[in-house]
Formats: sequence, structure tokens, C-alpha cells
Amino acid sequence: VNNGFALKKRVNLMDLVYGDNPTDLNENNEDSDGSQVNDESGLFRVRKATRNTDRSLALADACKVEAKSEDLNQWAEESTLESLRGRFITAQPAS
Amino acid sequence: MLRFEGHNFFRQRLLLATVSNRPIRIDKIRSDDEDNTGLADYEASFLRLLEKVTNGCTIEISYTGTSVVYRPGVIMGGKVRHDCPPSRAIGYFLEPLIALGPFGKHPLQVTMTGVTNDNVDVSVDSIRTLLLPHLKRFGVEDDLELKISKRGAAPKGGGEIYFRCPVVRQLKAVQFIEEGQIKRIRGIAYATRVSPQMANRVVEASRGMLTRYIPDVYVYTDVYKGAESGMSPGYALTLVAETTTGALLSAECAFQPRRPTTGTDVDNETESKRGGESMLVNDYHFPTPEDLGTHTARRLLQEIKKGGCFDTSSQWLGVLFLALGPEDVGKIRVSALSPFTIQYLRDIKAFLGITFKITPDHSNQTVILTCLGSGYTNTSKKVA
Repeated sequence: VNNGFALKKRVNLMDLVYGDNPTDLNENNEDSDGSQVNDESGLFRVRKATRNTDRSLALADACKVEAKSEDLNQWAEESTLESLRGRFITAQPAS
Repeated sequence: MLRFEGHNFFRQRLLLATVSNRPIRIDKIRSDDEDNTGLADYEASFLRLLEKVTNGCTIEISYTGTSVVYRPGVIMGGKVRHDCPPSRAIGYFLEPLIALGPFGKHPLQVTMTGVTNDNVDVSVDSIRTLLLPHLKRFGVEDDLELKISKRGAAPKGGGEIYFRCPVVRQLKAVQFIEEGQIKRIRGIAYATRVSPQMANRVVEASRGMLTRYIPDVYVYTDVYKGAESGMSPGYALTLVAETTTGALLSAECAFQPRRPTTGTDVDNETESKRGGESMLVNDYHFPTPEDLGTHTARRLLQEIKKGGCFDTSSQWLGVLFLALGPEDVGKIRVSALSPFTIQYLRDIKAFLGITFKITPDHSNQTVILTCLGSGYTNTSKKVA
């Protein structure tokens, strides 16, 4: 349940970063991704901001990434908390 | 001249233009946004900051503010003062300076005022406890200091920091892929213009969650009063886990007052203008300080789970300093690539012509980044 790019199965990271059609993070490309809706009269064009936890702060030119609340809520569970024990020096060597 | 479009990734493009000494042109800056066409106040402010730390640069901004042509000058450093607009936190302005400072003619001594902590930009506490140790690894170490003399919570700010950075002739080559195991956790809970008890309660809640793993957890409280407390009330927590190999994993969170839904007072006006805040997905209005402490501790656990030697908010620095490093193989392990870092890698390729080898490590879902440094040399710094 990680939202990191590395976890998406077998994505070629070289292509993802340097490929010809890289996932564009630029807001100016909204028109192309179909997030735009024409109203009946055709007079107005409604722009729908794409909201994605992963991307939104990068669009604000910030390096931080927000954590989804469902990802954080898993830390309320004892089993999830215990799964991290091996990352600390206090961990008992696996017997 | 390199050309870009859009307001995104503004700082990194200007930063890379400056270190690579290549002029750039950025068009279509919010050209489709009728309410906020062109450069935002913080972007204009960042351009002025670049003018202060360099010599001989020229900046041309079109009448509508939607196009910028930037011809970089020489990185000077020296004594600089900058009042950051409250629309972005000090971190927005300080981050690029951390990367620019080592390559100046004179050691950089910058005093900045503004918002010290918020949920959009990296806080001054994270810069001090996370990014500065990373700088040392790259050979920028003597006389490196970041002092937080006044706190400034959003929306009004009023904080003040002093940053001093030495100059180096060349960065050190870095190969840092051993994650190690976490040996200690440090943190800072600050409080300003609220009861000092708030900071204590944040510490208790976060410590309680982390001491189950390791006894060496120490979270400092940093309470500001009177002239040093800025203009808005606030509190925040920054946590950093350090491993046996010196890898640093961090998390932070600041209390954010809920915006009044009605009312036309002036305060409301300044709040709604805070750039980037509209991008936030989560609600950072916590009912109690314990909630903020728990939230931040969970974010730290999340970051520990992701792993790597450079965490999410320091990835960009590792990537940039590998690219600017000596002509030698540099290698780092990072947690899953953030969208911000991905664009950084692309822009590094555009400016410096450096392509990284990006190898996922499927055993623990981290990523190994390898590159041959550009051999960047600070010609202003004489060989000792």
C-alpha cells in the first residue's frame, strides 16, 4: 500500500524519468488529459484540478510529499508497528 | 538558451541555470490563470534573492509577468539579507541557497525573515538537522551553521534565521548505499505564542510511539517568547531518525489553524494568499497537540519503512550534488523517487547533460542512483 513509484510493478525507471513520454508533472498539460469539461452552452470551459497526494506539493514547487491518511492509519495496528522492528539496532538477530 | 514552460519547478531551473551558467527563458507562467496571471510574489522574491547572491545577472520579466529571461551572473555569496514574503516559508528560499552557497566567491552569510515552519515547504528545523549533515558528507563542513533566532508561524511569519555556508573548490565524491540500522531519533518541538505545554504534549505523544523501538529518543522543546515569537501563534514537530551508517530519515508537521469560512477581515486575505497551501490534501488542524505528535511519528515510521540513505525531502540534494561532484562514480540509495526528484533528474539532464543510471532494488523497494559527476569546480576558490 505504498504510493511510491518504485513499487508499481516492473516500471522501467529509466523510461519513467527519461522516456519520450514522461509522466508530465506540468500543470499546463491539463488540456490533454481530459480533465476538462465543456458545459452545455459551450461558452465556458470548466477546469478540474487534478488532485493527487503524490503530485500536489511537487506542483507547488516543494520537495515534501504528503502522506495519505489511510497509509498513516495503518500505524495504529500492532502488526504494522512490529513489522518495522528489524530496522532498529535494538532488533534481536533472526533466530 | 534553454527554454521552459510553466511556473512549476521554477527554483530548480534558476538554480541549475546559475551553477551551469546558462541563460534560460521561461514562458507561459500561469498564462491560463485569470486570477493570478504571471509570477507569484514569492517567485519574484526568489529572483531578487538570486540577484543578491550573484553579480552581473540580468532578469527580464514581460509586462504580464508570464515570461522570464534569466542570464546568470557569478555566484558571489557574502552578507545578504532577505525578507521572505509570508506566502511561502523560509525553506522555499533557503533550500536553493544551500546548494548555491558552496560555489560562491565568498562564504555565504544570509539572514532571512519570514515563516519558519509550515506544511508546504521544508522547515528550517529539517534544513538544519537533515540537509546540513548531508552537505558535510559532500565536503561542505567547516563553519556550516543555521541559527533559528526567531520563530515565525504561518500565516504572518515574523521568524528570523541566520545561515552561514563555507565555499569549497570541489565537492567530494559520495557513494552512500548502506542504509544501516536506526540507532537514535532526535526531534524538535517548537511552540510560539501558545502555551509551552503544547510543545511538551507533542513530545510526549511522539516519544511514546517511538520508544517501543529504541530507547535513544530525544525530542527537544523549543519555546519562544516575547520579541522572538513572531507574529502568529503556532507549534510544530520535526523528527529525524539516524542510522548506524549516518542515513537520515525525517518527518515533520506544523499546526495549521482552520481558515474562517466566513468574514472579510484582512487576516483572511493574507491567509488565502499563502502559495501552495491550496495544494495540501490533508487537514493539519489537529484537535490536540497529541494528535500532531502522533501524526508526525507515524509519518516518520512511514519514511523509515520507505528506507534509503536520503529520505524524500533530501533526495534532490543528493541527486544534485552527485551531478555536480568530481568526475568519479557517485552512487546513492534513495527511498521511492518523488515526483519532485523525477523532474529534478530531467532538469539536471537538460542543464548539465548528466543522465543517471536508475536501478530499483526490489529487495526493499529502494532505488539506487548512479552517475558520473560533472567535475564542477568553483573557480573563485583558490587551491589551498
